[in-house]
Amino acid sequence: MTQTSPTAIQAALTELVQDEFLDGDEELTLDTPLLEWGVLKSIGLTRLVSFIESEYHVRVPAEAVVADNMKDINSIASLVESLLSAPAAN
Amino acid sequence: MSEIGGIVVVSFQQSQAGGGSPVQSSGAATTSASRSRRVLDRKAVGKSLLRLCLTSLGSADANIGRLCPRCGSTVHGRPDVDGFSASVSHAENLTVTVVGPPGAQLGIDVESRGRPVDGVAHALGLHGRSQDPLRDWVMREAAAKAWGVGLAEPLSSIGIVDARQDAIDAVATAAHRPPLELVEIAVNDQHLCFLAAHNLRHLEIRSVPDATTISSPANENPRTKELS
Repeated sequence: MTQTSPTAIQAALTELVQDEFLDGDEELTLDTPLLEWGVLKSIGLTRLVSFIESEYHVRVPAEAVVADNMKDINSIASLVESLLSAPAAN
Repeated sequence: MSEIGGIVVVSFQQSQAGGGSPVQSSGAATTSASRSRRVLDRKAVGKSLLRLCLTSLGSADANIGRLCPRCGSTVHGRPDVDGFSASVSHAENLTVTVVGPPGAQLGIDVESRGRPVDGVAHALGLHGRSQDPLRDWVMREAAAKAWGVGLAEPLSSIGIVDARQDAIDAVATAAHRPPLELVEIAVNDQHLCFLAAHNLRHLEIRSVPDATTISSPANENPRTKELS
């Protein structure tokens, strides 16, 4: 079962970004600027969205696919937490 | 709406594949330091291409900086070129730049055609309604950059209407923003690139360094063409 504690979400997202968008062994912190550094190219956000939806069984509204929600692991994790805490909206 | 004429210059540079950067990083180190270096390399390529465009427009000495329209930072954000409108886009191994008249409100985006597009239509709010998700994304991002909002606002809020006339492929619309015209810039077979601008049909689009005219108001049958 998918762990949904804040630290578990951060860990899962960190692993995804390292595996899918980096070479796997690059340093990545919770506040690494993913968009500014080009780790996430804009359209790459959609892969993150797909991961979040399949992993946490939530629906990420198109309106949530914005830079503020995707700028670093902390922001993405906060988005996931907010979606998990609002099941009625999903 | 006023007509803005003039010349828009597009330039691109393709590097060896890999790294998410148009410039290969040296060595095998994969640390945040090497990432930072690659980002700087990428910015340097963009700046050199902007300079190439400016030189073509007879303003080689124009100051090139950066300006974030949201926070005012001059460290990141869109290109800020004295006296011109400018935009830069990076794909995995390609950088594209465009420079033109200040009122042209230029925005450019390029993406690799080989990338997975799963989830793109959904992220645009077009689930089940997009025949070409990559094209739908690139057109919207080019328009968002031209408006100066980038990804600060959801791309799903942008509407696209096919035009296919007067050298224009489509028109982008969004609430409280002036409509923008879009044209595909055919850089090569591996990438999809769109240019957005205010009254694009009145602009002559050239490429550098070969000075090819891609699209011109005077051309009776203007279409995009290979830049290379």
